[in-house]
Amino acid sequence: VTPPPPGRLKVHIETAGPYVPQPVNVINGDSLQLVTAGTCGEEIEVPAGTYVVSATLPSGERSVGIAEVTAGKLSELSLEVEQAAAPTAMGGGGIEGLGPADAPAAATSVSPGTFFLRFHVQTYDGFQPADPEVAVTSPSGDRAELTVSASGNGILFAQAARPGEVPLNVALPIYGPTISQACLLTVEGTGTVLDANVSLPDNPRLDAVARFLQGGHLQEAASVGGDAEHLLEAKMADPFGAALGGYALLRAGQLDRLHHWPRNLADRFSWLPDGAVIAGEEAALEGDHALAILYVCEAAGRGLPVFGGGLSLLASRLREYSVAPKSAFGEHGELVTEAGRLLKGILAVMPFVDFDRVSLAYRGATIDDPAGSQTPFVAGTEGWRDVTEL
Amino acid sequence: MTPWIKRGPAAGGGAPCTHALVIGCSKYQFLTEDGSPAPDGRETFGLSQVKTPATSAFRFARWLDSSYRNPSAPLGTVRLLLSPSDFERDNVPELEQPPPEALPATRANVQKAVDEWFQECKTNADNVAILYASGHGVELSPDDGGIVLLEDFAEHLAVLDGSLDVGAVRKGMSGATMAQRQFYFVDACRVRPEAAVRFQSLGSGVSLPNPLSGRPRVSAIYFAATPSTTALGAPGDGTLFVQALLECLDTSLGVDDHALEDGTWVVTTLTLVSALPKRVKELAAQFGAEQSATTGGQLEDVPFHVLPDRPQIPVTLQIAPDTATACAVAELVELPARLQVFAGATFAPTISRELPAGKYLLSVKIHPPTPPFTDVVDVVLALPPRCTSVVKVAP
Repeated sequence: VTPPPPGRLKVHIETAGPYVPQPVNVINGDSLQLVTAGTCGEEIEVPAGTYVVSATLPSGERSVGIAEVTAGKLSELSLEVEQAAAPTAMGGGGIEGLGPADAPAAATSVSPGTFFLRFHVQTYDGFQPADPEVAVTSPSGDRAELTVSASGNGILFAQAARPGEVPLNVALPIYGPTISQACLLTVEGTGTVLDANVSLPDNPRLDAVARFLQGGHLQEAASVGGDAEHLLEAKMADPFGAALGGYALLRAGQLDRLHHWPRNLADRFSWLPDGAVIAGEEAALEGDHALAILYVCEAAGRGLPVFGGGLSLLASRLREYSVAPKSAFGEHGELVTEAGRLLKGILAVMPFVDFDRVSLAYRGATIDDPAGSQTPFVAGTEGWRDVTEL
Repeated sequence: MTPWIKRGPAAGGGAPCTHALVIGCSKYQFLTEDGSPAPDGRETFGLSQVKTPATSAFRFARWLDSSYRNPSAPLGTVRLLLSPSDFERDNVPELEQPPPEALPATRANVQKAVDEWFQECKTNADNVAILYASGHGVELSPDDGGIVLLEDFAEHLAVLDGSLDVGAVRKGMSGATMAQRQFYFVDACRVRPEAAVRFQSLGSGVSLPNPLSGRPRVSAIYFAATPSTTALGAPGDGTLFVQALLECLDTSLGVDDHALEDGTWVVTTLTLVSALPKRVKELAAQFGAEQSATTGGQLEDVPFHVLPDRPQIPVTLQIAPDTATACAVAELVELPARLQVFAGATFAPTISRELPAGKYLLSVKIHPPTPPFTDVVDVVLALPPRCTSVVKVAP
């Protein structure tokens, strides 16, 4: 008896945001066992039958639908999505989010003296003051939304402050010469402490990966961001997307999907510490510690990674290597001392980092010396600008 | 040291099993009750005695004993080190007199326990290794797991000699025959960040030699740093982290959204990654506190705990439009056996039940007939972590 031909299933999710290849689980409707995993928009081949299709959205919401698949035919299913408040991609506000969707209905203008900002750019030579293009798009009583556009070379950091609190420093995953040129920075003081969140409306794929990581949905993050090598090959490269995809694959243990492209990321984008962090971690997990220590020290020499997960990996490897015997690293054995020196610099930042966020964020009045500057902000300090004057 | 639990393959030898090391330290020999400086001026970071870590560790150990299920590596040993505070001895019945096998969480005892745990874990690559540590802690990074202070913290000038360096232990847990599935739960009351900046010059905690060889398949770290040292919840509840962890392990909160091929339901590396931090945050909010949990390490998705039965799913049924609730009567049967779950139920305005994960058929009858509402039959799929089904009774 010839078995019946399989059917095909195509899943759509209508979301308010831009399209990203949303991963879905296809579950047998009777046994409730996973049949296969796929992505929205692709045709998934399955035997005829009833299926539960489940998707975890970047916001953390789950959407579930039922599909009847007929042999030899294409069945389409549209998953409905509740338009819940979306979390901010790069962290802050937690999984439930304090993102733009939660904005107070009755907005009043930000009063002068509420929020202050200044920017720095991190290059090989350390931090320098920066003056990026900033457009204040939505000021209200307790929050201000700003579109920040990259200018110049290096990694841009925003420092946000309000009187009486230790300023918050946030790395912005934007860089002029790449596809990632602008981000939305939301500064708000509705909670007990000042918060500054980053989202990337112009880079939906990176935004989705960040949201998945923020919510702990690693499989989905790896699925959406896993074709990071293609992001590097694109005409307008997206090194931040590639880096975040790389972190997701590392975390999920999918080293076979990295196939050494992080080395390209590290070599082609020498201003980005994250590429070297990922290349180093990949080498370490493969047991090539001689190569790993080279990349790890290179990463730390470039400065602070853009993503908090990168700093965590970097610090962990530096700590491990700084006390290891030189003989473990072959021709790079001398780097053990260097690893110890670099670790001291990282440790001066690490205790002040909020690892609950995707984008690197830490508190400190002096951006390159948080350990020595856990002091409240006082208006009138050099370089700070009132948000109402931007 | 004598394990608190030794059974199954660990007692008989040979087959893979789970080896757990559980440490909870609430009593500190050299700390004052209120965090005031120690009389002899030793460095104590302003820390005081705490009320929950030993309770938390004991709760987790008991859960391992009574509920942990991993058919590929059944529970073999649990080594337990407890230093309960006076508060816990007075308020938590089981900790008034801890089990005789539960030695105090001093450096010497913990080093011995770590060494023995290491030796047992490396007997079979298919073993599972579990480390749970709770106490005051120096928070480093999610990939290091931090440093947990032990009962004799600050005994010497090198104060961190009296600590457990979870990151250094984890890095040492490698090798060809080492347990390839490792889970680390670090539940720490946060030490001021200044200590973390200087931690390298403050001594060396309990660790393992790092051979820089191989890597385990899974080496997951679940880390919580509690900003407060006070107990949140009733005495005996333990920290928010352990409350959240046990909820994720015992209810549908941490269960994957589908069954395995053998029909079982599991809590996995990655379901905990998403569920645990979320639940910690929710519980903290209930107490008006803020707490976050982070995860790190290698997080390949493997089962951690297999539920004994189908998970109980909170199911909420509602009809649309809600003006139909006054004339709608519902019946629910479980498929495929068509076992009746309930009949004659009314929406007020929803029907809420806890049901085993599964496929159900919901019949809504409009009685008396009330146009434009119509009778409807709909499938309800109760999948973890919860199910909300809206049935439309009007075009």
